[in-house]
Amino acid sequence: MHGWINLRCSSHQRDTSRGAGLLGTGLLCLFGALSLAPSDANADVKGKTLSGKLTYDRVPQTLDNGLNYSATVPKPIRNVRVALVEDKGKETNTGKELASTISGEDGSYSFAIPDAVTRVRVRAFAQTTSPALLVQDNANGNALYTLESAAITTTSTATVKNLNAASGWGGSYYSGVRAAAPFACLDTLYTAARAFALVRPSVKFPLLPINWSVDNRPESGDETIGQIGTSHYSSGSGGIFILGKEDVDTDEYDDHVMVHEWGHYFEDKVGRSDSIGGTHGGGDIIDPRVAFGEGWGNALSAMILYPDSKYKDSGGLSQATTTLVLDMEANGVNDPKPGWFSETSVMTLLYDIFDPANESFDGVALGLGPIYDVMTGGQKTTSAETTVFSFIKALKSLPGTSAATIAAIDTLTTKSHISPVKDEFGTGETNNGGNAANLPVYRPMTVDGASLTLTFLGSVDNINKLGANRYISFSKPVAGSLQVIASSSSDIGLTVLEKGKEVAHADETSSGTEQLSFDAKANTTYVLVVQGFVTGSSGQYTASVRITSGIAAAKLATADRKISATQRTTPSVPRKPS
Amino acid sequence: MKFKMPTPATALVVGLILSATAARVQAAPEGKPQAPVEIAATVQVQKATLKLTFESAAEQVNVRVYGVDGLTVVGTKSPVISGTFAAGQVMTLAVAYTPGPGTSNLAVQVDGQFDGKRRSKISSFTVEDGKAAKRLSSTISSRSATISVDGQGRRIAVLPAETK
Repeated sequence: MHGWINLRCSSHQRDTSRGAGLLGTGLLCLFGALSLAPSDANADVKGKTLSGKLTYDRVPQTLDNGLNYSATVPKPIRNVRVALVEDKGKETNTGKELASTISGEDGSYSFAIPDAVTRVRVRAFAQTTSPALLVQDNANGNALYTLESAAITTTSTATVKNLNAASGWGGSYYSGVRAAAPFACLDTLYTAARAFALVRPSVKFPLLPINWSVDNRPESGDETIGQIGTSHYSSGSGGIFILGKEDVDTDEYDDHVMVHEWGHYFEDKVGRSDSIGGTHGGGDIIDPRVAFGEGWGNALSAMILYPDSKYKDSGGLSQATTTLVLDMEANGVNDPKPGWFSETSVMTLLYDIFDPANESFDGVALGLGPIYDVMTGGQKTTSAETTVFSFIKALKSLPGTSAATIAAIDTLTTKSHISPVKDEFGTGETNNGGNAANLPVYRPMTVDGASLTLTFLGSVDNINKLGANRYISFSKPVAGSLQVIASSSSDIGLTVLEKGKEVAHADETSSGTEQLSFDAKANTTYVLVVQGFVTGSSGQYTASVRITSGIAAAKLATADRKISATQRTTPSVPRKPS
Repeated sequence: MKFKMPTPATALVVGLILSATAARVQAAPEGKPQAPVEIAATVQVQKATLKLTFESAAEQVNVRVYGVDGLTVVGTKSPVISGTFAAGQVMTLAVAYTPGPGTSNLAVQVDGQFDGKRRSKISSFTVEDGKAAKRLSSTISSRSATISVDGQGRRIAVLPAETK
C-alpha cells in the first residue's frame, strides 16, 4: 500500500517538477517505490523524517579588488535533485538511493525515512531539470558534482540537517574542497534561464552541461585536463567551460562572465548568431556580427543580474584583482568609436532597451520578453546577417509596437551613433567609422549585372574587423545555378549565406582569385561575404566581384579549386565562434 | 614603431627582450571579454619564452609573471612596467623559474589601457619538472572531490557538505 502511495507521489513529482520547482516547493517522493522491489515495499514508513535546507557559499565581487571572501553569504541550492542514500559504512559510496526529491527555491528538502533505516546520507546533485543544467568536472571524466552529507543517524522522529557547500577558502588560500563553486555556477545560469521562463513560460532550453574544474586554466590544449583557454561556450560540445584555477583565474563567482557565456549558448540553441568570433575589444571597429554577439553577451549579463549594471571579472593572485569592469549605463564613455560596428555601442543600446527609461535619451523599457521574441523571431529568421540592424528592425516590427516606442528606439540608436534603422541590411546608415569604404553596409548586386568593386582596409589588426569584411546581398527571380567570381591583388575568401547558413564557400588560393557556384533558390535573398586577409599593412586594396548565371564556369572552378587547394595558405574564419 | 619600455633594465633582470616586431594576427575562438593581447609561451623545465602579441594599441601596460602550484619565478616578477605598445606589436620575453614538484604552472598577467579602456588578461602554462607526478599529495587530496558512482550508475565527484 505504501508502495502505491509513493508511486503516485513520484508520478506527480515528475509531472509537476517544472512548475513545482519554480514555485519553490520541495515535494517528497520515494523513488525506491518506483521499482516496487520487495525489500522496498517492506520498508515500513512510520513517520520519521529528515529535512533541512541546502546552501552554498556565495563570494561577492568588488569593483576594484576581485572577490571579497569576508562578505561571503549563504545562498540556497535551488531546484536540484536530492537523493537519500542508505549508509552502510564501507558501502556508502555505492549506497542505494532510498528516495529522491527536488530542492525548493529556498533550498529546502524533506524525506520520509523508512523505519528500518537508521543511517543515511543526503546527496545534492549539481543538476536541475527545468531548465536542464548540470555541472560536471571536465578534468575528471565529466563526473557530476554532488554535495554529500556525512552519515546521519535517523533514530528520532524528526531530524533536521542543514547542509552547506563551503567555498573552501581558508583565509589566504583555498584550504578545503571548493564545494560551493559548482553550485555557484549552477545557480547563476539557473537564474538566467528562469528569467526568460518567467516572461515566456513556453521557452524550452536544451540541456546545458557546465564544465568546471579546479584545473580549468587559461591555457590552450586538452580540455579533459583543464586546458580550456578561457571561459567560453563551445558550440561543438554544446557546453560552457568555466575557469577554476586558483591564483590564476576563476570565474565561478563572476556571474556576469557566466551569463555572458550563457548568452552565446542562448544564441546557438534557441536563437541565431552569425558572429565569426576572433579577438575583440572595446574601441574596435569590428565586424558587426561580432559586435552584436559580444554586445549581446555583455548586455544580457546585466539584464539577468539587474540592477547590477556593472559587468565585473575577477582573477589573479588570491582572486584579488578585478580585471574588467564594463558599465552598461555609461553610454558613450569608453566607446571611442561608437556605431553599429562597436560592441560597446551594441551593449549599451541593448541594455537601454531592456532597463527602465532612466536617462534623457532612454525612453524605452521593454524588459526581457520582447528581447526574447526578437532573438528567437526576427533575429533568427533574418535574410541578412545577425547584426544590430537585424535586431532593431525585428524589434520595431514586433506586433503592437507603438509609433512612440519606435521613435524612442530611434532616439536610442542615434545616441549610439547608429542611424534610425530602416531594414535589416542597414540601408541608409551614415556612420562609416571613419572610412567611406565601410558604407553601404550591404551592397546590393544584380545577377548577370555589372561587376562591383569592394575596398578593404589593409590596416586592420585582425581579419574580424569591419575593414576586412564586405557584405553583398542578391537574389534571383528563378531557381538555377549561380557563380560568384572575385579577383583581387591580395588574398580574399568568399562565403554565400542563406539566413546565416553557409551554402557555398571559396577560400582556396592566396592569389586573390576565388570562385564558387551553387544552386540558388528562386526569390531568396543571399548574402555574400567577401573576406580580406590583409592585416597590419597600410593603405587599401580592392576586389572585383561578379555574380552570373550558369554552370559551365562553375565546373571549371571546381576543377581549379582541386588543383589550387594544395597551395592553400590561409585558414578561413570559423563560421561559428565558441 | 611605438614600442616603448620605460624600464628596460628591469626587463633584462628577468630575462632577455628577444624581439619587438609587428606580426600578423589570426582570428581565434572567442571567450569572455578580456584585454586584446595574445599570450603564448614556449615552455621548458626551468625557463619559458613568452610571446605577447598586442592586437590593439596599449598604454600603461604592466606584465607580471608568477608561479602557482609550487613554481617559483627567478628574478623580478614585473618584466614590463608602464609600457606602450602599438597594435600588432610583438614582444618576446624570457622567464626563468624553479618548477614545482610534478606539475606546476607559470602565470602571466597583462594589464593596461587598451584603446583607452582598462583591461587585463591572464594566461597560464603547464610546467612539468620531468619527474614522476606528485600532485596527489595528501594536501592536494584533502582539497579534491572524491570520485564515486551514484545510484543511477553515473560518475559523480563527491563534495563534502558542512552540516549546520
